[in-house]
Amino acid sequence: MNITIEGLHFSYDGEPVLEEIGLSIEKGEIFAIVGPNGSGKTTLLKNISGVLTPDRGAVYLGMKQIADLSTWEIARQLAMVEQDREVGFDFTVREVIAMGRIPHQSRFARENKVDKKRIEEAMRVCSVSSLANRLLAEISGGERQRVFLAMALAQEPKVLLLDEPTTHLDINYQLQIMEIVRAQAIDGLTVVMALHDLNLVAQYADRAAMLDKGHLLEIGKPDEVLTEANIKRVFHTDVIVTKHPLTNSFYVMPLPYRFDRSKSRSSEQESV
Amino acid sequence: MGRAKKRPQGQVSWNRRKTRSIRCIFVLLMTLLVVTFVIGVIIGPVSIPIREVFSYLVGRKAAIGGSGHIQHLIISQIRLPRVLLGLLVGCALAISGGAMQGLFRNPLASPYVLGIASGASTGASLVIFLNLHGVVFLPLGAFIGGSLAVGIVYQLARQRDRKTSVYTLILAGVAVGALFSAITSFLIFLSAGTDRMTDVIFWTMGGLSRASWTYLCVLAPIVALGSLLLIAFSRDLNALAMGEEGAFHLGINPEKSKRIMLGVATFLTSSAVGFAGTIGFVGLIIPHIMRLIMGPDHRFLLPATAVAGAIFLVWADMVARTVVRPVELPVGIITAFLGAPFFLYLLKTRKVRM
Repeated sequence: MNITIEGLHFSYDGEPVLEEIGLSIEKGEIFAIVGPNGSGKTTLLKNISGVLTPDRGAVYLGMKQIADLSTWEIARQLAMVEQDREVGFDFTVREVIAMGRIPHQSRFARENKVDKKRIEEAMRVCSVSSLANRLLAEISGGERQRVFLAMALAQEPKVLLLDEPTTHLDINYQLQIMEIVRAQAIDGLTVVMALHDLNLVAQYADRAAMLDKGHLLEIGKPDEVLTEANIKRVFHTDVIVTKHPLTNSFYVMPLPYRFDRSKSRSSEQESV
Repeated sequence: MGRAKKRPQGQVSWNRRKTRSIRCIFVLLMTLLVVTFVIGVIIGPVSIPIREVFSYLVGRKAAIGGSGHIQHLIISQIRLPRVLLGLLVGCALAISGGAMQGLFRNPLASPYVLGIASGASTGASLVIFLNLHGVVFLPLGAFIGGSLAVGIVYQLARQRDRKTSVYTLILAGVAVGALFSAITSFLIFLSAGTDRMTDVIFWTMGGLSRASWTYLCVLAPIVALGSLLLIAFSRDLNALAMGEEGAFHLGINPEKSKRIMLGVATFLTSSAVGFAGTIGFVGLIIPHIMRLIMGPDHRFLLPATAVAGAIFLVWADMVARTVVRPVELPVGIITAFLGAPFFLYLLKTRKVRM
């Protein structure tokens, strides 16, 4: 399912957070939203998910404007993995993942065969089957994030939103999450995520949008968006963007403050 | 490979096992309920042989003037209404407590802690004070008082930081509860020396001694309907455990669900308070114990809590009417004796989630 955002404005208590955002995201695409803290990434995701309603402009899920859909209709098409979700009470991993079926069940329904199948499938995809009976409070942060991803997948969404899914995770867990997401996108899931890690964006995103203080600075393929100039402008940080000799994908390397860029450039030229 | 294949099977059997153990708990609870009911009718100042209880229950008529006749009268006019009132009030208090703990994602939330009970008791006292006795005015007055209290507490806790913070909620509950208790005390003071004073004092301590069939006729449909409504929303409570946004993403409108459930729980608690006074801590202990036994899934937790609450209050009432014979203690004293230490224990050991 594709997502279209037209002329979106949003403000918190009169303070503009997002201005004139226009985007369209294709079915099966992994779309990354990048930008520094406070640039409006999470707010943009919440506008897409329907949690927040834009002041002006509109978000379309497929052909329908999200503001016209009920909470229930949204949940049947769109799932979200929030940042730092806190769960009340001691639910087991399986109980949490089973909640992903709520949008597909009637109020008094018990778990049927389809529900069971979807839950087990989601657990397998996210490799959390062996954790099923553990309490959510007992497992590690990386496992927790995979459980929330499994819950979102059990929801059978057409659109998956992720807010900083890899923050606080070790590098192996970061890659696990991204690999699961990529496999789902290949099967047609539309993925929109806010990401801190520019290198993960470079590796996994099909396209990216860079936000600067609530404005869209650039949209395009990761190598078009993550340029040294754009990163300097938005993050006020010097970086080198190069192609990796082995993977042939590009990567972003931040330069320490003490590094004198002009010197290094000139020395490079000398050597050439 | 072999292990990987076995896993899903283990999964299925685990689920079956869990369903079975939950079924066991329900069977056990229902058995206990029946046993409690019968014992509740037997025990009292006048001992009634179990044979007479059964003969009454199956509808056999006793000869007029015989000892059986008096015993049947005691059963029908005193014991039975009292036990039934205990069951209804216990059920109402426990299930609303369970719903509120779910709503606020905190095991410390309960009708008592949130000031609902104090508000309802003030409402009921005011009705008595104004001499508006009657089965309609009492629960109505209690409901108005209870809603007022919970409304104030909820608004206070919300405005501080948009999200309802549990600490603010409990502190606000204590403060509002104290305010309403003060109003009730003032009413007691004003009506000093009259019959109304004993009435009001009775309401602040809570008891089942005023049970009558008229009370039951009003309370039974309220409790039945309210409990069913809360159970119907148990799925929403599960989703709300994921936080308000989490619930939204599962297709639940969090504000709407919360408002409906808080309203129903307040009405249930207030009606119970209207007929039996403030009986504290049932709504705190019972849901918590049941959650320890059967896990936090509200679809099973709420019905189990309702039954367990009913059983608990009838037993507490039996203790209340037998422990210092022939004087009868208000049952609220018994539940507070059990509940207050339990509350402190919770505060001390459990990490209070924000």
